[in-house]
Amino acid sequence: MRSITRRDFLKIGAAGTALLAIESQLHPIAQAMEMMDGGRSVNRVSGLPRSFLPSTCTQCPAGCGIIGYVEESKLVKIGGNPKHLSNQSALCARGQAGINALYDPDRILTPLKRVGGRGENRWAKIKWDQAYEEVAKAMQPLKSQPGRFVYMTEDLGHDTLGKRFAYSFGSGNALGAASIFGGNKQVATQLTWGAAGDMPDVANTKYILVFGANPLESHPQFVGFARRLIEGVQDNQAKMVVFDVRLTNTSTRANEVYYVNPGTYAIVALAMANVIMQEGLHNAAFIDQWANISSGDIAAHLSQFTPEKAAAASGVDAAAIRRVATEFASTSPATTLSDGLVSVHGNGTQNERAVMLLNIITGNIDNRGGLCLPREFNLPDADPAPAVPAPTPLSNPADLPLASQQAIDRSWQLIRDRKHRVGVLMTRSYNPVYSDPDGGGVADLLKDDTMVPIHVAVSPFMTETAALADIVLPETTYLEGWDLEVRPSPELVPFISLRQPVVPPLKDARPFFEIATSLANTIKGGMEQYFGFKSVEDYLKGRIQNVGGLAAAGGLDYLKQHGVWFNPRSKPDYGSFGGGFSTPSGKLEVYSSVLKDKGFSPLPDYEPVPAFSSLSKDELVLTIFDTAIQTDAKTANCMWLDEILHNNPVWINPATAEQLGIKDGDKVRVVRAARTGQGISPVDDSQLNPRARSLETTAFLTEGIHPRVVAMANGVGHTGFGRIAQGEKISKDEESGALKNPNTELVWWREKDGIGTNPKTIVPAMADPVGGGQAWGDVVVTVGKIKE
Amino acid sequence: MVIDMRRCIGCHACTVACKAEMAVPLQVNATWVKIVEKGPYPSARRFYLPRLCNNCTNPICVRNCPTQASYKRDDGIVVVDPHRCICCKYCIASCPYDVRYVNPFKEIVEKCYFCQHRVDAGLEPACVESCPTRAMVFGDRNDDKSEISQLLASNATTVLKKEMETEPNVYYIAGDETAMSNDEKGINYRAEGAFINLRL
Repeated sequence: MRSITRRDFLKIGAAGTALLAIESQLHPIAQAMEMMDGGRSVNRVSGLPRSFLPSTCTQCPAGCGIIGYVEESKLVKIGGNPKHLSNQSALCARGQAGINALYDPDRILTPLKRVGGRGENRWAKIKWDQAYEEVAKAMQPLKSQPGRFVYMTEDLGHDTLGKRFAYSFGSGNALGAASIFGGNKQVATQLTWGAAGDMPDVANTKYILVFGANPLESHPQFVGFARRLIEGVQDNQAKMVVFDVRLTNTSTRANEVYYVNPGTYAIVALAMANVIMQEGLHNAAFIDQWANISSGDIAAHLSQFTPEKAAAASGVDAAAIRRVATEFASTSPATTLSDGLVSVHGNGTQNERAVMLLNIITGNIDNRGGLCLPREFNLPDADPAPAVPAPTPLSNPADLPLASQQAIDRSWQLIRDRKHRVGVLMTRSYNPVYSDPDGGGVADLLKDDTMVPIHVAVSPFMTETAALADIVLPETTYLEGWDLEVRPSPELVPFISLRQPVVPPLKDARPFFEIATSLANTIKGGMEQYFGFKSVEDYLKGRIQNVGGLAAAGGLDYLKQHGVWFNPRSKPDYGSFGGGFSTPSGKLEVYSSVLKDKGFSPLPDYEPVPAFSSLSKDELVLTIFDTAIQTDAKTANCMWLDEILHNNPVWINPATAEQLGIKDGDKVRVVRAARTGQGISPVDDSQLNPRARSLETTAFLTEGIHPRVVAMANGVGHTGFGRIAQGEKISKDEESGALKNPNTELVWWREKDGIGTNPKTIVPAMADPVGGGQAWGDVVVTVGKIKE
Repeated sequence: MVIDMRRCIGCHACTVACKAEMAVPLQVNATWVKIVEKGPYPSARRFYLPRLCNNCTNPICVRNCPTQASYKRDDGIVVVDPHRCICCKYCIASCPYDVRYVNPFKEIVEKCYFCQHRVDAGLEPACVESCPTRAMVFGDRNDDKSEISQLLASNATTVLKKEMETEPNVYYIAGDETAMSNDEKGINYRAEGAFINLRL
């Protein structure tokens, strides 16, 4: 915070300082934003300011505020919105490269209808009216069994319009994919403090214990959170201790780094909690007031987790566990930081609960510098809102009672087992063939028209999944569309961010609002009454009408001008739980009766991953990590990003590589071991897709990885998603009109380095039975050199 | 410019900011992040080093340019006049920092100009504006009150290849000695050859 105002002071000078004194009760960002109207980008030749419009990014889930700079109705640059509370004026590589996606030469700009077999990639261009008619013709017969219309999207929680479309048709089968993107954390936090997610107040803390998280490279609020973490460790001199299986970008800024055996985070955290209770370093008053069991009960439960036992399981020295635990409990404020690797194991939900317990017993809950509740506006759908249909076996699988509408892999299995008969499947902003475990299996399912009679893909790009559709409806990219975005605020002051077109839709691409409205009015049968808005702006006004302060500030007009709104007088309301938490007991549920009722361990617990016990000498654990350069299936068509990260050689510790006879740069085969299926949620390996058992890549030898772990980056290795994503040059002679870009002829990495391999193809679908999250981290592999 | 390596997280926002702002073609870079890994497991550490033209006070490239295409502006920024450049590449050969490149479309030499057009308009260079953790600071060293002067006054800094007596104007706080002293470019991220592995 200080660094922002410091920089802005420089720009505004003495006059601004006087004004700031008057306005000092405003949030510091609000102070800055009053001064920062006007262009922040100029033409390189003329020096004249460029025209600009604020909007909101979708290159990752953070929802950062962006400014689109436009010349002659072409987008020439994307910068960060200085008024945005999350990213402020900064913007990551992906956000700035969004311009590549807008002008991807392989964008789909007219509706397509399949002519050959599914997946043959032969298409006929059709008119929008015909596309709407065809989809309506397929959906209308399902009106009596509306659940046979299945809508799938990556981030259901933030796809209000998609839900509106499915619900207004009467289908409760609007499904999200949270299970493959760390859903265990959402479930663990919901169970424990009655809110999904958390927001460590890292800028104001003095001690940060990081378990498996890598926020300096990948975080749901990447730019804003990374800034605050650096403010914490650098400006506030917080000590940071990292537990992980590899050297992450976050480790590079840490005071201490410990390598843990994979899947053992919970026992390390529980042993630390045990030390804190035994040493009497806990906050007894806080526990008495806010935990739903007593200090004595917590201590008794924890006593089994001795540092020695944790050391034997995790490989972390018992003395280090004792010392770090003591430091954590003796430093105030302090917070844990967990995400990513902690969540993506078969024991992920319990891992998260174990880490959270450290904050509870030290009273670092929703305090300045502690682990805070997420601050996020709840924007209901606009009136008239369709009724939410009753949960279905597909949306709420019986065996994953806590993973409502988000356990996508279980949904695929129910379709595969013909327990749910799909009539029409619509996929939007979701590429399961790339993103999901066993994407090959998902592709086989999508090719089978007895399981999926009609597949409509709403997508601006020919992704691996859209290629298996019958009809492709070319939605605009985020730079040409509308939406409202609310995300947990890294600054702990909630905001509403607007997405608006920074350029008009290219050619025949249409915003999803227009597609959904036209479809509803073609399908009819009652759903059209929910799509009677005069315009998208009319619809968005309906969604924000009850946000008091925003209405007073000017409502949608304010958002269109500034891109974001937050109450300029708000400050973080620490201790916001005041009258109690939104849990059944109103307290922090260290003991969860919900878990007890569902047959799970009610107390934070450690359950070893069976597949990791007694690994043989050549068996290694595969870790798939996210980077700050590519976002899963979303960004590989951006050439500026691919040029930086285009392949993903497998990281191997040199000592391990020597045993395996592997040298740096060798071609290697990574083979999934049958033992992988011995997870917490067992999988019969013989039933799995045999083609998806191994992959080929090159070896990258690094000292920054646990000797029993190998690692590959996510986000590359596409087999679809256009030519840029696959590293192919596009000749400058090729006519691509507005999308013509001479740079596409200079694509160089495929020949030199290769385009990588998608490691998720060899990962079977395995869910944590508690939270339903995919156990990406439970994969055992062997790695061998390919003999030339 | 001051780059505070205690704040850098190696995210490449600056790399892409430069591509976008200066329309830098693929295959060449005016700004990038070098990555170096040092030490044996489990004490291995990783270091970053954002690289760009030092806009030297005593630029060898300017001295060696036969057509005076390369010149130093009054404010110290070293630029290439595209109309005078004959692409003889003498400047590329003489630059100790390997930060000049031939634009494959224009066949002229280009480099980082500290975003002179933005500076002239009162804005920061694009990389500085984009940096998520505010590791990069740009300003006027002759103004004692500027943030950059205060940073330089209160921190130990290093420059690349001081012995060349070019007097670089990019200062690093806590720059890793190995990353700063070897000549590898290390442009790509974890691509083959991305890291320079040094088991020291």
